[in-house]
Amino acid sequence: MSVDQAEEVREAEGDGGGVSALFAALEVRGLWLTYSATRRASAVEALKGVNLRIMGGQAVALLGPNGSGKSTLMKIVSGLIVSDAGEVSVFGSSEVGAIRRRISVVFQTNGLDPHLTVEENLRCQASLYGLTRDDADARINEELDRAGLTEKRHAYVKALSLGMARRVDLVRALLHHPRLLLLDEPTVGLDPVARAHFLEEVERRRLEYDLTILMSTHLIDEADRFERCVFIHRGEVAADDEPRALRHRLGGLILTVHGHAKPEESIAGVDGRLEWRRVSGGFIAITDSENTEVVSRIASGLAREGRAFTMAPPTLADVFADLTGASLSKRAGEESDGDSTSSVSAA
Amino acid sequence: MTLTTTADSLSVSNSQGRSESRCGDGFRVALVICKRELVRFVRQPTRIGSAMGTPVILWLFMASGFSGSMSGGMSGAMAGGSGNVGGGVPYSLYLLPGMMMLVAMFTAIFSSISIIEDRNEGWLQSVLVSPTPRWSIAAGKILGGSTIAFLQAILLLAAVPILGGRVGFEGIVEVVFALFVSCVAMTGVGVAFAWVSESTQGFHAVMNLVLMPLWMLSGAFFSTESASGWLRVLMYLNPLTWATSAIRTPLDSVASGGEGGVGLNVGSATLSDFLNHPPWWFAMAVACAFAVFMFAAATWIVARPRKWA
Repeated sequence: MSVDQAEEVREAEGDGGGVSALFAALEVRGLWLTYSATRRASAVEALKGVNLRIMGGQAVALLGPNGSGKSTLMKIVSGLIVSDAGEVSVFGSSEVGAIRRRISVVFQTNGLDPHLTVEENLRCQASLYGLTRDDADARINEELDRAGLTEKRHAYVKALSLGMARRVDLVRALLHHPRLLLLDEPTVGLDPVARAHFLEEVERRRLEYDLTILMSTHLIDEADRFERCVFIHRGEVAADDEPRALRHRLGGLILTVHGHAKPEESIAGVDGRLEWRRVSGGFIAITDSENTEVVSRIASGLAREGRAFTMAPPTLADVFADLTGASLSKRAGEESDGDSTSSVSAA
Repeated sequence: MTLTTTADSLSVSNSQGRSESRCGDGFRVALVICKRELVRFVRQPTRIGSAMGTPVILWLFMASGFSGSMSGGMSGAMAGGSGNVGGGVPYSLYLLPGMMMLVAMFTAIFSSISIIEDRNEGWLQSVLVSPTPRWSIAAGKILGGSTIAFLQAILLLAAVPILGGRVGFEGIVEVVFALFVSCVAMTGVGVAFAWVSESTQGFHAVMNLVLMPLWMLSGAFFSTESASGWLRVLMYLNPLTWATSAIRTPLDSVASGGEGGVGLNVGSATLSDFLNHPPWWFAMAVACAFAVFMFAAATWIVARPRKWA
């Protein structure tokens, strides 16, 4: 089906997601991009055949450490840069102009001019998308009201707090009624309260507008809020599932023994099936059961030895580390300590 | 299409409703971006001072310092001796077109830097991911930068009567046209280089390497006929020489009481005379060609797909 046909279908079925039912909101097929070598750096394979399919209305987190290829993927999808190979389609269309009309992007840095007022920025954005003056007036009033930012209408962007400016940036991105919202690490630099506020606002707008959302992040608590999480590592999709399902892949509990002595000596005879890995603070093992009897036996064994330890359900960071051997807090390519040490097992 | 100028100063509305074509959208967006450049400029008064200050100081020092050694015959030769322009013009008046070009050049550079700032601040990305055609971004930037450069540089025209010159309405029109075209050309150079520059430092380095020599060899300080052989060839090849000449010719003709250039009797003039004292229309034609070329080049650079942003 061509772009025009898709548009016809959309118009025929109204704006309520007719195309969403026919096409994936976003489909990425075999995306490759290599950044050429420079005098100071060798060539970098940023994306290596990435495939991704997101259905309409889904909220998907793209989780990976810095340098894993998240922002590159976002830039290609938004048409900011071109890939070496592969294809991107948004609601069935691969034509750049059609894609740009259907998406909106919130980047790490505000897409706002600090020397202009909030209203001036929004009017400028409205013009970019061909909104008439009346439409722009209506949309600006509506969006500022929804975001509770009406009183900031005439404030200069440079006078706003970072959290406030991010919310204005979200208003900017929603002004032309996009159907797919791309958020490229939008909470960088925000304090926890502003971060939570921003994410709540995104979720509220998603429900109100039936938006499809793809948000890149390297923060696990952010990714955990989404219904689907895609791990990206070294330019490849390492896993793609619901956060809960991803955590269940790992096991029952993460047991961390602090200190550098061999943990297997401390729990000899407690549970011989545990596979221990060295991490920066000591050793971790993943229990394959949440059985209270087993867990308490391990805890007792460690306590008897006077070892400091923690037990907690696995996080997405644990799953990521288990799958890729890399830490989310490090740049892609810098492996975690656990990867460099062979597993050890309890006696 | 109306360009609003009130509180909603960055809105360009189309009375026909949603724009009919991409081309129409492009022009609308170019006007919006141009207007944004002007608003930003007015809200950053330090830019006005920095763009005007250096050339004015240079002008005062050089005009005062060299006026003694370049008076009389020297001045006459620099201002177009060879008998075509009878009598010399004051060196301070001779310098005026070059200083107008310098103001325009500084302003064009400062305006172009905003592209790098826009990229770092994130505004440019939000424009680039919109469906607006990319040529309109280049056009808006060039139009905005040129207008700012022109408005600052044209102020120096007020110095003509102070320096003892006189310029009539026709001359003013010619100067205005030549100056605006020159501003478009230099802003085009700035936009093209700024688009591929990753830092303001790198951009400044390139601009100093490209635009400053172009300006110095534009006849701003000395005329082509007073230059040595190889330098003269370089000056002939320099498009800014012709732009400067297009600004100077109307002023020279008034100051000297002559016709300005040999345009009216080109048939009897030698090629050298023609090149040293081109008629206004010829200098203007070269300047226009340069402006069109730089506009097209900047637009092409902005519009081409990139693997980095």
